[in-house]
Amino acid sequence: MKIVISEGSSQADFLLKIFKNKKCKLIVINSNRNTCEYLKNHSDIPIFYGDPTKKYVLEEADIKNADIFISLSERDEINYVSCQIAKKLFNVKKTISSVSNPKDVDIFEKLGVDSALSSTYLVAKVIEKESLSNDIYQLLNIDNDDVSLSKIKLQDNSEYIEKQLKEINLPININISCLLREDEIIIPNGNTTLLSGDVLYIVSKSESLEQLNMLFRIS
Amino acid sequence: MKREKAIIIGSGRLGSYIASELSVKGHEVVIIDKDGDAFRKLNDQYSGYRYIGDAVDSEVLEQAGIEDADILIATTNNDNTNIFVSHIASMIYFVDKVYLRLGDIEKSTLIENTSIHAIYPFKLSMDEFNRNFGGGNNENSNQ
Repeated sequence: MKIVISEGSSQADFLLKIFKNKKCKLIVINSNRNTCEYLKNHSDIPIFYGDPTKKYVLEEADIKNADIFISLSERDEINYVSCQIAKKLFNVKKTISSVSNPKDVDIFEKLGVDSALSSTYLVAKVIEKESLSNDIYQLLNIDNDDVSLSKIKLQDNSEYIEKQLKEINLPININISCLLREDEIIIPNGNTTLLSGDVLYIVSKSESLEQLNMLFRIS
Repeated sequence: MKREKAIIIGSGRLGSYIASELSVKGHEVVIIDKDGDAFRKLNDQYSGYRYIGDAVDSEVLEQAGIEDADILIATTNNDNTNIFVSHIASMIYFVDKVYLRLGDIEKSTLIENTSIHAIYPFKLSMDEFNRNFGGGNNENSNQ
């Protein structure tokens, strides 16, 4: 796997250490001379000094056909332009960018950067998840956060105890995909009866999370 | 003539000139620059809005009214800013006419297959030079 790490200082250093032992071919591009010197002294991979938004710098670094291009600049316009050039001119398969402005997460993805990450955005998402009821844990978001997997432990006082799934009539965007009863894994159908202590794994549209929270809230 | 709404990014020599021209012609103009002092370059007859802010921030663009703008012209001296802002204008807010100033001709690949128009100061100077001194005819030399 060929991975290009563009810009960033401590983040670049950290990623280098992670990927070093994973049989990846790493290439580093950085426009800060001091960072280049530091990285050169602490690793034996090729380090290129230069502006990653310039075609000749990327050419010199030989990023053609790389699997992943990671951009870590503090300036979003630099992240954006270097990801686009990597993709359009050098046939890079996947571009990943950090963004400083959380509003740029959506903008980057709409404009064709494969993934955009913002620490502020992530913190906001974590808080959003935490604010859901304690009985419901949101495990995973899939497909640009449109789909969610949540885990709910059924309490004694739930109105769904001793009911068959077909009696419950869940909204169309909420589906109980799997349940754990003691050590047993059950893929439920309409005739499955829910019992106290069952752990439900629920796939839903993310927009229905609040509704899910209402349905399973312990009164 | 239809009165159009134009947003100009960057109040340098080019940006302030274009903003002043459009304003004098009767268009509704908003000019954005990070530095409020840059607006001193605007012509006295400029009657549009001045907005201090970083146009790379989509909120600044929204405040400037990008949602119903007809024209956006990115004229800063930073190619990357101009490309990013013009892509946002053209592909997210669907601004009809988008122009940008590009110093590095190699970055023109990023606006291929879009409706964005580029202005290349370097290419214009070069063409001018070639017209005057290239081509072998010395019609300008006897002055």
